[in-house]
Amino acid sequence: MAKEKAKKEIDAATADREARWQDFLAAAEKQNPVKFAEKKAKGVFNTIPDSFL
Amino acid sequence: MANTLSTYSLRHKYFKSNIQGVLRNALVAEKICRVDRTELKTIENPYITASSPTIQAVAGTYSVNALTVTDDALSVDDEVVNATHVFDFEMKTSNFDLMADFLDDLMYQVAKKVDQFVLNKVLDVGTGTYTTPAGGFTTAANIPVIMANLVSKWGGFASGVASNPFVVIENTDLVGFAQAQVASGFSYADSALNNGFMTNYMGVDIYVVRSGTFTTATLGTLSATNSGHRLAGLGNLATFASPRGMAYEEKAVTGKTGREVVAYCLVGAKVWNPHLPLFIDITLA
Repeated sequence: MAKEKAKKEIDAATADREARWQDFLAAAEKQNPVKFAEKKAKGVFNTIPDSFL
Repeated sequence: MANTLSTYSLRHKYFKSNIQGVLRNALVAEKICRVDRTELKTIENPYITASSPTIQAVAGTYSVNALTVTDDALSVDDEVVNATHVFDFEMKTSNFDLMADFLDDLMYQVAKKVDQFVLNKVLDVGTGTYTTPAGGFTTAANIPVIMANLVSKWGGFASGVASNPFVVIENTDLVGFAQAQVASGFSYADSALNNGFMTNYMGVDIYVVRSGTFTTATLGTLSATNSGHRLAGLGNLATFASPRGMAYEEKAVTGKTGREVVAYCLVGAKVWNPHLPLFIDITLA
């Protein structure tokens, strides 16, 4: 029960972080579309870096 | 058989009268930027778009160009704040001056965040690009290649335009840099061996910041995507505005004894449009 609750909390936190990451990417693209496109083509945004809390 | 002695029957000594602070990072932004601390919201700096001359066989006739002046502005859109509350009972019973020690840390952390913001902002807006060979700055053999490529970005301008080149690296990059320095030339290598890391290489000033300064994260209004990137550019071309610099307030608040203390700073950073290509976003391969 406790393990399931903990897993649910982790999944919720992960989903929240991914949602914030998508919002962050949208803001970054709007801010600097040229650089964003270059970095996206290189796959820079394929994983969420540790610095993104 | 040893005796049992209570904690406070033993002699304790305090190393100093202040609480130890965190290790402090080098702050680089003010060294590479022009700093403006006057009270302002925007700094306006319009620029001319280059005109196009006509070269032709001698005729004596010509048509006029319509020149364009475009607005360019630095806007102070961000603030860094850091606050804590020290209760009266904490102040009275502490062995240290909590207000002074806490305020010292609050102000340093604000300065550090401002520094990080300015570096990431300048890196984000610069339009020059360069990708290092595999291994980046950590491979000694790459250093002359990287630096030569950076220097080439600033070549060919009129005297005085491309002055004071710099590169900002993180401490993890020193591995290759230091090895390259001690293996370079004679007197330069001797200086590096005797005195440690040299802060100039090939005429480029080298500033070192802690790992993680260049980051992919939201910094106020800036969505920085700079993790794994480094900055090179020309000194005193980027502008960093901080109206009235760092400030702090101590205030009594309702419902609490003691004082709330807050350190804060307004900040804006800009690279003027004609200078954008001179700031290089270095991608580590």
